Amino acid sequence: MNEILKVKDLNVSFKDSQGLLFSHTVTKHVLKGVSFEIKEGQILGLVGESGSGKSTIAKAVLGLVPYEGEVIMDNAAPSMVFQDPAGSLNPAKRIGWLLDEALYLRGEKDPDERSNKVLEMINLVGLKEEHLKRYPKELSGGQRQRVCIGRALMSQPRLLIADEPVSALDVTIQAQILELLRDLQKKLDLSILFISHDLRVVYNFCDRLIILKDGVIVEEGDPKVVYRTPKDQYTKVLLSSI
Amino acid sequence: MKNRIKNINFILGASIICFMALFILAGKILPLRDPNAIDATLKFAKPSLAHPFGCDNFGREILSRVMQGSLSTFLIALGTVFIGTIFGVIIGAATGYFGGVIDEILMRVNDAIFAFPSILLALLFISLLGPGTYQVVIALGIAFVPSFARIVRGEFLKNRNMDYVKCARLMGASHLRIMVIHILPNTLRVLLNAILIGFNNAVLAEASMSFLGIGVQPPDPSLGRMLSEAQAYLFKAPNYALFPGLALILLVLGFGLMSDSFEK
Ligand SMILES: Nc1ncnc2c1ncn2[C@@H]1O[C@H](COP(=O)(O)OP(=O)(O)O)[C@@H](O)[C@H]1O
Ligand SMILES: [Mg+2]
Repeated sequence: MNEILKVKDLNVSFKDSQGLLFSHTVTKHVLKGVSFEIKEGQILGLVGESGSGKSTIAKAVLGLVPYEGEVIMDNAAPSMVFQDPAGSLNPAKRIGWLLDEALYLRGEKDPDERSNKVLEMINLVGLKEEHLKRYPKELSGGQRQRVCIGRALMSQPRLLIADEPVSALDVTIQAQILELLRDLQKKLDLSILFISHDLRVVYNFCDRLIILKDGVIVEEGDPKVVYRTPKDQYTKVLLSSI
Repeated sequence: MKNRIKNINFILGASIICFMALFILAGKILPLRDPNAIDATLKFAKPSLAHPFGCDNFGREILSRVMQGSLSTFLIALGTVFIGTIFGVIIGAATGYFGGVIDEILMRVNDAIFAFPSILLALLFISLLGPGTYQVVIALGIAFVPSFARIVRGEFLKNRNMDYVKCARLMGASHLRIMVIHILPNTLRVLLNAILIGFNNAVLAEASMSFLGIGVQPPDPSLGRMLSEAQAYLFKAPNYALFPGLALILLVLGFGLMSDSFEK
């Protein structure tokens, strides 16, 4: 199996100015030598408590923050799904328009071809044609996240980065979205970087698991194994909260 | 319940504005006397069937003058709000979206201008441009820009950090596309409200300036001009002040009620 994404010794730091009167800049090291890889068709779970640097990893991979180290990808750019589906969809636009835009921005000029693809995608993520005419606020949270996933897949990416995609959803809806992602991963042979602060969500969903603490990977392995025999103290703490 | 009241406000306001629009239109269509035609024999004629609103100190037809004056006032307000909106949106969108040094500088200038009452500011511009209808539109328009810019900036600032903007950026949308196609539609509700309030202020500001004699120039009528002229004959011919005053009140009330219905 080939790697779809390889991250080597990733370091990210932010400069923060502290103090009101006598302000001085402090360098905050958010990621300290993070290395991991995602193989083709694999779902990699990235777990860690809030503030551990998970989103920063995603941003570095997407090139949204300056970093040191290596991020190696095949040429297709990854797509991104955010935590809050309501905030990720422009409230002033209809679902059909939002999906169509993803194609338009890729330079696809033929509107008929685009609308066929949009229709295909809305069905693929488990929604119906009638949803295309709706505004985001006229959908439920789960339906909105389906739209976000569909939009992310419009560019036919090889890698999908999902940053806490189910954290804002009810437990029953969470399961449905996870099932959809699993489904899509198989159908489209996707690789997924699945970010979560909740070990419960991840451990029987992903193929591999890494656990991040304060910008350092403290544990890596098969989720079942990590779950049964955690090596790191921090993982034990995460597990005990389940 | 609250929504219903708001709806009623809107319908009431819109009806009043429609009525005023028809009234103005009637002045263009009906074969009334020229608003500037003088007739010494009709000096201070009381309201009658032939002269529904009566005649003024030059024997001019008050009805045609109120119609024509409402039109002038309305057009000046329209022009003012148009200038204020266009430049306010451009400045507010750019500063709110990009932030940074330009934002700091422009907003400080904005604040400084904003600190003056717009009528005072407009007076300042008039002193540079000279009196006249177009000058009033330009002066009031410029004076109105800061308040629009401030409102639009706030909306863009609120929206630019939202995930939907990040998504659009990630998908390769240009800044201009994000500002115009993504964020602007989300500011329409607030903008529309600002436009309606702006209309109100512009109607009053025009009236005040014409009242002071620096707006619409005689013999052409505007509501403010007519009120100013009528002032001297308040007891002799109360109808002279009454009708332009009424038209002014209706315009302000109409836009006011409409904008009320947009308040959050
Ligand atoms: N642009 C930034 N500037 C300064 N600090 C940041 C920035 N982005 C993230 N951080 C800091 O980096 C740390 C990790 O953030 P993040 O990656 O969002 O964590 P997580 O997604 O795991 O909750 C946090 O302490 C956060 O305050
Ligand atoms: Mg995060």
